[in-house]
Order: sequence, then structure tokens, then C-alpha cells
Amino acid sequence: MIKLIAAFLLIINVYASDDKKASGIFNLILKEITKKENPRVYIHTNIYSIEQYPGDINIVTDCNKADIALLSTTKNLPPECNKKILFGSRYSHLKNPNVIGSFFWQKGRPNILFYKQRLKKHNIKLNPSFDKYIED
Amino acid sequence: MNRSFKIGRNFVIFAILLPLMTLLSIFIYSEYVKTKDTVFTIIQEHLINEKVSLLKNYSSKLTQRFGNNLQETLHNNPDLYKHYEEELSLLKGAEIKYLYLLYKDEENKFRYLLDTTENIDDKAEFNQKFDPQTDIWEKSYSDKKLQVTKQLDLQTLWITVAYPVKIDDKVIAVLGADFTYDVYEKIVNTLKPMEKIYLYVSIFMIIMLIVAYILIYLYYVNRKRSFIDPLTKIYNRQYLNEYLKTSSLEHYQLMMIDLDHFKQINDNYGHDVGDKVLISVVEQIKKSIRQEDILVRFGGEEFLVLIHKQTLETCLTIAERIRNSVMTHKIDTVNKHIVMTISIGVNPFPFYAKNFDEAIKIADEQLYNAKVSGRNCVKVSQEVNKSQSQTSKRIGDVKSAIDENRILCAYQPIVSTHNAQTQKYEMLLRLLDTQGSIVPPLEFLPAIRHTNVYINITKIVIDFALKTLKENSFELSMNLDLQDILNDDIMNLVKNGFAEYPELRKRLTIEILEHEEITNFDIIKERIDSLKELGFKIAIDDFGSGYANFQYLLYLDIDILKIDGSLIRDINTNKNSYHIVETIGSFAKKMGIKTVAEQVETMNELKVIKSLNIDYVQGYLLGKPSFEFDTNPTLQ
Repeated sequence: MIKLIAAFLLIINVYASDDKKASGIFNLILKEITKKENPRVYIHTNIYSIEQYPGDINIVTDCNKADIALLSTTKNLPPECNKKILFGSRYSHLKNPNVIGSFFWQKGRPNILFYKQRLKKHNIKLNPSFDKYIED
Repeated sequence: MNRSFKIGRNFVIFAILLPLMTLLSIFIYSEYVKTKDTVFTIIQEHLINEKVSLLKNYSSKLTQRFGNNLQETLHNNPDLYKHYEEELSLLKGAEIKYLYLLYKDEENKFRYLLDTTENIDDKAEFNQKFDPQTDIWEKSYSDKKLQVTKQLDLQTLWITVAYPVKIDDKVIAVLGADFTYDVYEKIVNTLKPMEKIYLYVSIFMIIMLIVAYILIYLYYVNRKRSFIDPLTKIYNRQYLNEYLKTSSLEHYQLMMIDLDHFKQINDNYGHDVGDKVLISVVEQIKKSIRQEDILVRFGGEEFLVLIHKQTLETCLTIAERIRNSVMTHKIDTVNKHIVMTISIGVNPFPFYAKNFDEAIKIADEQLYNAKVSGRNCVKVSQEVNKSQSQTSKRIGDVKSAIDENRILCAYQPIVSTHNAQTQKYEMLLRLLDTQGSIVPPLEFLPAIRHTNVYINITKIVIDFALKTLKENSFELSMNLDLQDILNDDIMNLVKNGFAEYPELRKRLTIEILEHEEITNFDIIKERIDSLKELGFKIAIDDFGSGYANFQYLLYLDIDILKIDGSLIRDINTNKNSYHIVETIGSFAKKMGIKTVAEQVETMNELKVIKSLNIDYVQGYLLGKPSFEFDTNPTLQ
């Protein structure tokens, strides 16, 4: 699995645009978190890459129907999303304790970060290949 | 019959030069690209080295200040952290986009200690995890050396360097510097204009090459078309003229073919039928000859065939085969079948003729004989057997004469009209028969021409000239036929024979004789110029007679004109001769060309010639050709 992720990241890094790369990584992460092949994702408020290239993700407009909420900002989050799993797209989103992890670009490089306790809180177990992205 | 056309020298030069130039420009372009890469690498190394030396100093400062407690100290002293981050940011410059300090924790994860990034979205927090995309960070820890990688997959970054911060040979952190892609672009943009110029020149050259080859192809297609008779699709007369410029008839027999009563076909059935008959007859002739034979439509219903390298018997068999093939072939026309017959005249040895026109004339005479003999037959030149046997005999005689040293040179004085002194001697070839009688060259040279014996005899003459010039101080004249000038073997004999004697070359005049009209002055001029460059003087013999005319003076760089004896004879009584010689003398003076009057035999002739300011005289009056040198000619 590690090799698969590494190969995937390498391939999309080399050949895809940043938006395609980001969408590919989001797909991989969200499918792993939800353990679904076609996770229903609510986007707050907009994330261009995933909207433009949704891949296997099923974008929903009602957070009630979502498996997970993907954030471009933590402000003005609809109340119905409060009980949902939240995943950020910036490092700063992690300051919100309800956000279990984030995928973001820093210095032109893709970064993935999860917090162990927050994953535990939502009873989420990730594949060991994600271990290097998990922080205590 | 699909004979390829001779390719000119200019074309060969052009065909070689143009691809060479193209290859050269491509080579220069590729070399430039290589050089550009080298320059690029040098600039890159220079930039990296410059920054690395700064990182090295900074690293020393860190280790001196913090020792092994770097992470702990920075964590516990926010002011110190801020101070060192600011200090690190001073090293960035325009080339580095991101500059940061990482360390590896117990879980082997890389984390930020310092980050000089100003953009808040890109700036990492203290101790934030760093996800490595390459293995340079691990390597800098394990190898304890500077690591450099090109960021092929990150769009805004060019190169990343990882510089290990060490204490006692133990790596405690890594300084990371991401060089901005802007630097790469700046270097590329600096070098690009030159690269473009080279690229455009190469593309231009390749396009020119393609265009040139297309033009050459079209030229040769058109040229070939101009040599093909549009009706019968065989060569026309123009091709024959072109072919004969560069080829000899030595290996051919010549046939003239004429369709019997062809006019009646045209008159009775119309020209369309006439054309069909011509095409059909050509097809029959083509079936009867071989690929290496040449079939030419010589006139309306007249054809010429050059049969390549056959015996007389085979040649006659081919002629009969052609005649039978045409005679037995029924030509289908709209209403009826037409049977044509042809008459053929054969000249089996066309190369013995003085020139090509003469060779055709002989074949044409036989064609005429065939016509008056009732048509539909083959007639061969009656001189064939005689010529053949005479030729064989002559070649044998000359070979024997060479073996028995009976080939000699006689010398005839050429005397100056200005000081009555012998200016030079003309060498005249002589063969002594077995009885010791002199055989003049005209009796044996035609038979041996185009044979190796002719080359051997020329070598003997050249050896005579060399020997005579070495042993005497006077000048010599040596005769060469125009065909000799065109013959590479003979030209090499002359050049090689005199190669080591530049002084002797200056005392030798080459008199050029010819018995057919020059059609390709370019080649003759080139050959004559090459002889003149070596120091030889060039004279035109028999000027004013036959083919030797004023055209030579327009095209060739001549030193001496030898006025033909036919104009000198009776010059004292024949006004026409007088005026012609006067004109030649006057014209030559203006051109800076010396003149020699040949065959001066009487005092009256000599007086007139002297009055016309002719420079030199030669003839029985001044001295007959002799194997001894006559040093006291009569010139009163």
C-alpha cells in the first residue's frame, strides 16, 4: 500500500497539474477515511481542485447527506456539519479541534497531516501506510 | 536504353557542398546546445557553491552557539528563535525561494526548526512536520554531505539543496534551500536567443537543401524530357549531341534506319496512322536491340542505332533482325493491317571517321545504297574489311616500330622574322618502316587512335621533348591533338613527365591540332588553363583553316597562332590570302598573341610575310624537318 501511495504520488506529481494532483490526493485520503469507494463529500465553501476533478468523490450539497465535510475555511460552517467528520485544506484548519486532518500545499509541496486523538475520537483507523502522516 | 545522363561537375560540387553545409550547421547547432548545457551547469554550480558557502558559515555559527541543544534551546527561547530565523533569511537573496532548517525526530520524521518563508500560507510553524518528496534529506543525514536535487515535479522550484549541520561528525539538523525556478528561466532566457539563431540557421539550411534538391530534380526531369521524342518516347537528336560531348564512338557500330515509303502512309492514311506506324516500328526495333544499345529518332522517319561492342557479324545479324522484325509485324490501324519495311545502312567502325558527322555520312551513304538497291535491305560500308585489316596491320606495325626504336622525332626550325634567329624547333613525329623509309604520322596515327599504342607513342614523344630540352637551351614545340587534351591519360603523361622540371616547361610550346569542331569550350579551357598554370605555352596549329578559327581566341588563353600553310602558299600572288593573313596578324598583335607563318617555301612568300609583321616563319625555305638541328636557317 505504501508503495502504491508513493507510486501514485510520484506519477501524479510528474504528469498532472497541481489541481489534478490535489484532487487525486484528496480522493485517496477521503476514500481511506470513509472506507468508501465513492464517499459523499460536502465542500465548505469551495475547493476548486476537487470540484473541477471530483474523481470517485460524490459531491453533495447537503451536509446531512455527507460522509465527510471538506473545508476551505472553518468559518461559518453549517451547524449540520458539526457532527460530521471534518477535513481541512490548510495547515491552519488543524487549529480547529474538530478537524481530524488536513491536506495542504506548502512551499510547492503537498503535505498531509492527521492527529491521532482526533482520528480516535471518530473511531477512524487508517491504513498503516498513512502512519507517517499521523501526529500525536 | 534507359541511359543515365552525365552529371556536370558543378552539380557534383553543389550536391556535395550543400549537404556538407547543412551538416556543418547542424553540427554547430548541436555543439552550441552542448556548450549551452555546459555553461548552464557551470552557472548552476556557481550559484549553489555561493549559497553553500553561506550555509556553511551559518551552520558553524549554529553549532558554536547551540551545540547539541539546538532544538531545545530554540523551543525554549522564542526571541532567540526569531533572531536566528531573521539571520537565516538574510542568506536567501533573489535566487532562493525557501530557506529553512529541519531536524529529524525520534520517529524519523523531519520537522521544521526555522523557516524564513514570509508568505503565511507557505510558512511552517516550529516543529511542524515536513513531508519529504525526495531522499536528499535522509541522505544528508546518512552521508553527512551536501545533497542536491532538481525539482522536476514541483513547478515553482528548480533545485533543492540539503546541507547537513554537524557537530563532531554527527548531523543534528539540515539546512534546506529551494532555488526558485525564476533563476532557471533567467539563465535559459539569456542563452535562448543564440540557440534560436543557430536553430533557425539550421532549419533554413535544411529547407534550402530540400528546395535545392527539388529544383535539381525538376531540372533533370525537364532536361531528360527535352531529350525524349514525345511521339516515340525514344531519344532525340538533341540527346545524341549531348551524349557525344562526353562519350566516344569507339565501342559502337552505327546504323541508319529509314522507313520505306513512309510518305505514302502519311499521304494515304493520314498523320495519325503515320504516327502509329512510327511508334509500332520503334517498338519492333527496341525488341531487337539490347539495353546498352542507343536508339535515337534522327529525323522524321529516320532512326539511328548505336550498337554497343559487337563484332561485325553480330552487328549485321542485329541489323537483319531489326529489318525482319519490322517486316513481319502487322500494324493494326482502323481499317486495315499495314506492313512496313525498312532500309538500313551500317557503318561498323564509326570511330575511324574524322568526326561524328562523317560517321553518319558513311552510314547514310549505305542507307542510300539500300534504298537504290530496292529497299528493305541492309547495306554495310564497303570499306569495312579494308579498314579493319589495314587498321590491324597499322597497329601491329606501330607496335613493332616502338619495340624496335623506329619511332623518332624530326625537328623543324621556327625562325624569328625580327632577328633571323632560330627561335625554336617544332618536333614532328616520324616512324621508320623496316626498310628505313619515313612514314608520315597521318598514315599511322588514325589507325592507332583510341588504342593504348597511341598512349605509348605519346609517351615516347614526351620523353624526346624532355631529353632535347635538357640537352639544349632552345625552345621546342610539341603537337597534341585536341582529343589528347581531353584524354586524362595523356594529360597525366604530360604533367607527370614534366613534374620535376618547371624550367623545361617554360621552354615547351604545346601546339594544339584538331580535326573536329570544339563543342565544349569549358572543358578545353579548363585543360588549357591547367597546362598554362604549369608554365607551358599554348599554340593553335593550322589557324585559319577548317575548324581552327577566331572562336578560339574568344574562349581560350592562347600564346601563339600558327597560320595555316594554305593561306601562306601563294600569299605573294593571292590577294585574298594576303588580306586574311594581314587581318590575322593585326588581330593577334592587338590580342598580344605571337604569330607563326607555316609552310613558307619561297623568298617572295617570306618577303610578304615579313611585310605583314608576322613574328615567326617556318617552312622548307627555313629548314626541312630533320633529325639534326639546323642552326643556320636562311632568312634574308
